Amino acid sequence: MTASAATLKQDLTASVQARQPLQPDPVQLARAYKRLSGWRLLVLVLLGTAILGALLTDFTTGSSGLELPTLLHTLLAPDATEPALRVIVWNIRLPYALMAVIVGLALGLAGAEMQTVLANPLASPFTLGLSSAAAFGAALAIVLDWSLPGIPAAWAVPANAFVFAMASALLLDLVARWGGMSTTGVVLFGIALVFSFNALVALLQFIATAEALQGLVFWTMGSLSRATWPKVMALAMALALVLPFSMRNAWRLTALRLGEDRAASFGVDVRRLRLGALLRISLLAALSVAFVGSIGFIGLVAPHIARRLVGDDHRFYLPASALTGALVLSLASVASKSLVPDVIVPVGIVTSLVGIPFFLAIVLKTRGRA
Amino acid sequence: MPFHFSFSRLQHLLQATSLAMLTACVIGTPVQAQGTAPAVSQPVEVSVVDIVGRTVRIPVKVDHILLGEGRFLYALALMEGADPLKRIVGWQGELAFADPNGWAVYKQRFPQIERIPLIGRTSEDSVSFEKSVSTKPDIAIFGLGGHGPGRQSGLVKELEKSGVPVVFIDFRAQPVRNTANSIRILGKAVHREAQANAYARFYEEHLQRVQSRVKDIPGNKRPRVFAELLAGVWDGCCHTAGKGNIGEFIDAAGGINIAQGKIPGAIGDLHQEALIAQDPDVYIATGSRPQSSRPMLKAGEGVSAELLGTSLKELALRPGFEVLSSVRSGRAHGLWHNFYDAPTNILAIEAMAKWFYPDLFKDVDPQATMTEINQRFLNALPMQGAYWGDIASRGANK
Repeated sequence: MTASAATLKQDLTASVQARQPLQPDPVQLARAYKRLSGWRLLVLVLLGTAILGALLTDFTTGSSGLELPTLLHTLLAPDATEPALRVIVWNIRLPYALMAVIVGLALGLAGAEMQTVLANPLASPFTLGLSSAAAFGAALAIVLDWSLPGIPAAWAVPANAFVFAMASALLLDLVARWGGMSTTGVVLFGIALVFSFNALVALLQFIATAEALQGLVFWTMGSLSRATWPKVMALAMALALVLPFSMRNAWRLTALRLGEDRAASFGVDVRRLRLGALLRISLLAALSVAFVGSIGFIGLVAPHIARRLVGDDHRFYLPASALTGALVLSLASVASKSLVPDVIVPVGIVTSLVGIPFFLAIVLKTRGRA
Repeated sequence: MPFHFSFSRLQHLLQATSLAMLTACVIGTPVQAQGTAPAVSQPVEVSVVDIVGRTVRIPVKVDHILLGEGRFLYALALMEGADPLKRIVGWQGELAFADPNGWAVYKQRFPQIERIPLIGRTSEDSVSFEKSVSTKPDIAIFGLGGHGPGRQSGLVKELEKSGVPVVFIDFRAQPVRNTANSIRILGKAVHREAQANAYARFYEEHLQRVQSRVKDIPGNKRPRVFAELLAGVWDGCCHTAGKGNIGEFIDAAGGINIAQGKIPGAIGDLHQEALIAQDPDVYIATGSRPQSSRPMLKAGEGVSAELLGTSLKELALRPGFEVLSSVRSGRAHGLWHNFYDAPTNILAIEAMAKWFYPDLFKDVDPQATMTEINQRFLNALPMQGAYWGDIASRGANK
């Protein structure tokens, strides 16, 4: 027996003999809580700073090798610069870089809420079949040229993808509401949706022309090169709409982490909470997948990274997950530009390759904790 | 799902590269008959060395031909005379999608084209062995993968086991190197040697004319060219060919393909910023689909030069294209997409040569070449339409 172990044993014996209750000092507890909150806030600030750094790097990386002063000049005085430069800065670099951050935020937030309301660490917006439904909608447009009436051709693919993703989410809500299903039931129903839509997509692939097939494959792998200002704005607005609701429910979601019954005993209407969250998730995930294709990894992994960084308090966990998603996707965008300059690599591939080491590092470093 | 997609794509890429390497190894193998010389003037089996170097014995009578790709019709039509469909007993159904205009014209003239049994849809995976054998072919003509059963296809072994010789030809993986040889091989395989050899000679003469004039042009005098494949068909921009495919036509016509060395595989997407930064001297869009609500290049059978020009103009109005010098100076051109898989690709090469070096090729007229092909080889159904063309002049709209 080592010396320290011996001391510990003595201390324990002393404590038991004195029959002192194991009550922590409230003042100390408050101080510890403050310190913890401070630390969590710091993590958020650091994540935000890192995103700004990634965004700047993303903006300054590209095949035309433009210097920062030129870029800034074009950014601030677009009319005074030559058209090619203007196109590069305003139509390509800026929307692509911002899209990476905003999609990352949306998928990170959606994934975090999803894992909480379904009480399942493997849940992500895509576990529920949203991505598969979106792919099916996109396939209808790409393979069969089928689109909703009144939608301009350029928007047919994202519009179809969105409608199908949203419809599958509403179907899920309906099933959860009517069937009064457990979280497991909802997840299983989601998995059923995944397989159904995958089969339907495969069917369309079978009858697709080589060109359509290729278009579909590329679509499914996800690409930031589809970013345009209207898409960036639409997603940013959706995020601005959803985020306050998510944050307002942060306490309830934190309570839900203790279990449905515990949350209910605190007065939380679990069903309403879950439905509201599902709707928010659907909107964010459906828009993201409609605009850039499937980037499933973020929604799954960002919440795990965030939980390890700031814990389960949803006031911090939700923004941390969103910020983590944004950081990973923005870094992925930088990586794809630096690794294979001049060529578009589907961002879904790069995201996984960039995100997995990041993910493993955090999981392994904190494996002692939950 | 993404894993499934990317995996199958990877498979295709791997297959394409290995095939390209394989072809590179066996290229240059002279095409010759290796059968024993007939002692008497009775018909005997001949054999042919196909494009991948396999020696294949050809049956005496070839009445039933199975085509691994529907677009091999373009090649067969060059040698079959009055009824190009007569001996085709089965094929893949991709022609109708890949070349809707050409299909419509064929259908009008030869309604039976719709009754030719399909052995698959568009991809190798969709080809059925049972269906293939049930068409009772005397010979099967396959390409080097991509759109039909390829070299590694299990179907090839099965067909050979059941006594159907399989001959490989290629107008797609390495079109400039393989077209003339593939035509000769096909001619031998379907017993149309005279016509096939005549076309192969015609092709080689025309190719030689272009290549000999551009071969000494130094690199810094060559135009830098970007070819956008199926422009507008997909979201985003810049789907293009690296090595092979239409990139080979650019080489042959004396241009520098700016995507070469950048795109790791045969095809891929160039970053739009790279396109703007490189600012190529010549921009070429390919296309073929007539129906669509979004801007796409319209070219091919029955398309007027005006329609081609205005459809190209629409494509050039997409964001980021108006700043390209090629678009601003009118050096933007359109090309029928299926040239990448058709033995008439010499027309694309001549058209490009004229675009790249208008003065050097003043005397070359691809339109005249097309007329000659029509008169000498395509009596049954001549090509009529704008298979290539220039952007509509500025001021037409906008």
